Amino acid sequence: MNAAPGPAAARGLPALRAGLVSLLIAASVSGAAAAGTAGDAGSPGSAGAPVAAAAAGAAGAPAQRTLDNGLRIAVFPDPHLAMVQVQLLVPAGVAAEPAGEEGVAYVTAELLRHGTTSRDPRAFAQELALLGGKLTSSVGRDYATVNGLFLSGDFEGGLELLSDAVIYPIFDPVELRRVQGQALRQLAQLEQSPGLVADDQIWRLAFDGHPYGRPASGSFGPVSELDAGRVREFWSDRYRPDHAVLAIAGDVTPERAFVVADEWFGRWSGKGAEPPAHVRAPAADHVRIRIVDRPGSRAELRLGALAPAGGTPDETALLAAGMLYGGAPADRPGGERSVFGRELRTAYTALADAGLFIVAASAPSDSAGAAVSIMLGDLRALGRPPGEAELASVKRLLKNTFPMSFETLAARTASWLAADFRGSGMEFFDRYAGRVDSLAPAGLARAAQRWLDPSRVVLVAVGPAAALKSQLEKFGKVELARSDTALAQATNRRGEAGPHAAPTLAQRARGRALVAKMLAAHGGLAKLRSIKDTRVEAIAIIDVNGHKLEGSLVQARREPDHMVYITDFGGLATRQTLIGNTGWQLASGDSEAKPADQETVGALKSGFGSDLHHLLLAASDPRARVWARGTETIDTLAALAVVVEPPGQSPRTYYLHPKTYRLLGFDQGDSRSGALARRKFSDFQTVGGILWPYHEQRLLNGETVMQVDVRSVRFNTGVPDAAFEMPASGTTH
Amino acid sequence: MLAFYRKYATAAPKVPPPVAQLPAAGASMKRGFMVVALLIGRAASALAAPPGIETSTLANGLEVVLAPDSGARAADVAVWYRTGPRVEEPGRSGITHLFERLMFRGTESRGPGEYRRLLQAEGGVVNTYTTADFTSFFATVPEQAVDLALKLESERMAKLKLSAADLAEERAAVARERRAFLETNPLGRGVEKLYATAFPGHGYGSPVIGLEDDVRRIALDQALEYYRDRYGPNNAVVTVVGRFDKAAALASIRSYFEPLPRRGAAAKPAPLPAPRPRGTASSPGRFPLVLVGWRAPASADPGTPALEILARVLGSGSEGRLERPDSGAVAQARAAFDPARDASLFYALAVLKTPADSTAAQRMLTGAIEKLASEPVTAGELDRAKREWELDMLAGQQTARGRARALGTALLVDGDAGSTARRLQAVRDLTPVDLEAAARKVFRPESRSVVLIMPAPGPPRPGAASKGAR
Repeated sequence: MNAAPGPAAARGLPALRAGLVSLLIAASVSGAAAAGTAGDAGSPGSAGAPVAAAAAGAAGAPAQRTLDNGLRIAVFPDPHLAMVQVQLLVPAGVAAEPAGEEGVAYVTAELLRHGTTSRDPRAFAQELALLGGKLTSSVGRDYATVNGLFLSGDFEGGLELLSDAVIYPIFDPVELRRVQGQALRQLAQLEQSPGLVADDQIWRLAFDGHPYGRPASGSFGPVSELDAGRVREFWSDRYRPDHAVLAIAGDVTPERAFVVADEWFGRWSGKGAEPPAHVRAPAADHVRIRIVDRPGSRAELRLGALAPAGGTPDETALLAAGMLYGGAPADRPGGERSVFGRELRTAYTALADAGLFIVAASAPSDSAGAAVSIMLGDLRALGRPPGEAELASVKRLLKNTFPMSFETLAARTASWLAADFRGSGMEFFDRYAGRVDSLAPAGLARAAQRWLDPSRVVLVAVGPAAALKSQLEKFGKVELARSDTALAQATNRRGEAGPHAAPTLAQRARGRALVAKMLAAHGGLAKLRSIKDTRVEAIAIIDVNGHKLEGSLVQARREPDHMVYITDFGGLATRQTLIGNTGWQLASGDSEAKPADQETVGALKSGFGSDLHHLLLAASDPRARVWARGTETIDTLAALAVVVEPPGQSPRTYYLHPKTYRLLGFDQGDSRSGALARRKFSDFQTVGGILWPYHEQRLLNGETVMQVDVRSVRFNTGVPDAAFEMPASGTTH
Repeated sequence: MLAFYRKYATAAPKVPPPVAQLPAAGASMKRGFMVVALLIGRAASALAAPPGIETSTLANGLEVVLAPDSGARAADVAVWYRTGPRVEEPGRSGITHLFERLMFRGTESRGPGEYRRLLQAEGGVVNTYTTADFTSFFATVPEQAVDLALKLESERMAKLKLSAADLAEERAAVARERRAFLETNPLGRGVEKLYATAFPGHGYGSPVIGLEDDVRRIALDQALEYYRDRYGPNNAVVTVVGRFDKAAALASIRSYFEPLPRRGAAAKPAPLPAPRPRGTASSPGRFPLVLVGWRAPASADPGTPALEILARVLGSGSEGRLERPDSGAVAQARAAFDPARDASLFYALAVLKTPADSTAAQRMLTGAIEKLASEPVTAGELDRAKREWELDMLAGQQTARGRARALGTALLVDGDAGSTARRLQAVRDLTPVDLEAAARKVFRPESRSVVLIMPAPGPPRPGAASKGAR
């Protein structure tokens, strides 16, 4: 559907103040709900009467009816403006996605507008445009909504269109491919924003193993793999009337709304699958830290603590804690709590199964440790009872912002749906002011101690791992997450035709056929498989600040995953060794070899697989995803492009000669630098029956960084164990 | 809409573009205390939220407009100053925009940032923005904070405290903002260049943020002089919209603003120049852009509703005529109408596939638009555009801020608080013949300016950008 804020917005962290309330009451609805809302029918004379009255406005409690098929209708009449907002909630959020199909909720919701059994995609768009209406969808962790906004005179026509989209979608494969491309581009864009990556990762880490930990907008692989059958199955299970709720607000009477809803949604049939069972959130007993390696001078930091689900007793206390974090709002210079010159924000999202309390900050990467100390200190401080004045200030803020969050019709329906979904309904609104009034310093501190214990938080840092790791290790065990930057960039460059767009069956078949020809051109799979080790010696020229520097290069590989990589440029020799999942390195001047860190091991593994031998084997792996991607000009030649994505690895794009099918080179995203690396092969010579490139050009972002002229290639010489042993003294050869 | 690229808000979150600027029935604000009825036929139910808008003028010239709405959930307090690029003196471009920041630096009785902090502590949302015609400072607050918001606004109208250090810091921040804009927004750069070409030598031709050299040269005494002359009560309008007590708000306004003396005099804009036919500039980005603009009547002209709708017929939504351009040279095309007080601009832009396509793209855009002057749009196109416009307009009126924005824009640009409802009715009444007549009046070759933006390998040099915008 339309480009509603969608999943990215669901992960966003609205600023302190009204955003907190919005997040609480509409946590699982992205898009319209993020604006906040709620109808409130406060009872006159109650402690919260002014708040309740302001929130209630013309809406109050909805008029409700249930259709014969089980669909519940809630109507909030408000004749203020001549328009009607419609929101249909279906339990088709991320939590309902089958494992391994991350993104199916999003793709399904998006595809609803792309054609129905009676309207092709173009006709559907035209009819919607003729109404001047808006039809969007949004997917949160708990549920999805389909949203319509129409002039009140077009309510009937608008609801008919919306019902057609929900009840009779066709999930056309061409449209599916279009939506997949769109989803992948969004993922790619998300990956380019360190802040959004941090927002995503904090959920993954905090809810590791829980459905809430799934990426809200899917991930590259599963989204690419979706086919129309899977999408239809998800729709068939989840888009059914018996678990759905239709909220209607605006210039429409309940009587008219019920009649029209019955006319268009009464025909909706079938029983939906049971909503996903409630799953207990994983309890943490120690600090977990995840670093996502990104170049740059700043680090995006997110601190997360599992918090209570919506409607639970500590909910209001945690909301207040979010506002109190870092001190009373009224005491903050400039109105903000800041760390290293950037605003520090908190957000509490309360969903059906659990909630997440997040503190977000951005700091210079060399000050990340200090920033985290401040963030944890502020969290710890919440465990002490606040002063009466501080608490009074927060209570005032909570009550003032509450009605202000419900200004739009969309916000009103979304907040009511959120409360209804988790079972609190109008009670949430009716008793809001009372709950705030009853907050006491000791109770708030108790809630913070229970939920916001600094020794059980999760921490995500997105920035340069080398700079961050040593600063963060003192807080707990650090893990490094794989970055998808390279994938994202590759997708962005190529759009729908990129390596992550969903390939068609024909593309896959063509890809496999081209790989078979490539293997044959280089000597055949049997010969390649017979290679147990290789030793390559070469002259290499590198570009150092515009100056060419010649040196030597030796690569010895032995199956499986053993490699020695020796370079010598101008007397500066280095030796890097890979031994399975470990390694070591030594450079001129070092007194002793040093164990390779995780990052270096990863780089060596990547290098191990980048010679011709392993490139060809990877393409022949039946588990790899392989597909043809048309042609691309390589040195004026229209080369055949084939994407190869071995299981668990980043994809590479191979370029084949259009007639000889020789491998002319390949592209690979560099996960560490976010840059695109290309290698070009030429000067092929036959060695042991294998056609091997004797010249190699290595480029980074289009600039040549190294040229390699091979002097000798040998196979199966028996590279000894001693070649991989860590030397006792500093020798590199 | 594309107009977004023209008007940029700074400080804190972005403010959405105005829903519309509206045609005026009368030339100027009526003085004295009066009620402007908004009930016009169907518009009555569409915009009936407040039963009326009350306007008054204090002895010091401050105009006061109150639009209470008991059904609202928030109140919006705003002060609108009748100053902006339109009346910035040559060499002082950007000074109004700079004051968006300076107005938060504190007063004789309040420290830096205190305005924001106090209102945020009450749950308020504070922001500011500047258009070619005015600059506005606003706070959307709970009812009980209306008095505080008014008090704080009166204080910074009366006694803003400025130092050379504050000025230097904010100039540097603006320079950073400008650099980021030039480096990342080729579309915005294109629209900016189009305005410079369509309004050479006029304030409308300068970017709201100002030219780098001009901003860099603004000295403390010049800033203080500008504040003294332009930010007085006689050059301002106070609006309060939404949920608040009318009598209490008026009492607060009288208490806080009435003692402030008049100062400065209304500034006059430069005469409108003839548009230049062509302009070129460079901007980072992968694709060249062609922009074609036609000078159009002032916002208050009765013909502007037709231009609003023509822009939507051409370039909005999936069914806009430019959505599927005839020319294979064009990757994407859009149209927009940007009304303003002295003169408006109707423009279209195309993203080209290669620089060599610029002539074909220009021909396509010009042809598609000037054809509107000789062929009526279809009833279906008109109906779609009208409904879409109305829905957007109504949706924007859901919040106190949205209503305040429309009201203030109507007052400051059209001089008519009731023009929102009138414009709605005018749009509803439009026929294909009206659109054709409006197109015939506006889409003439002598009113046209064409701008080509070529991709440049790096960020444009600030100096070059300054020249280009002149």
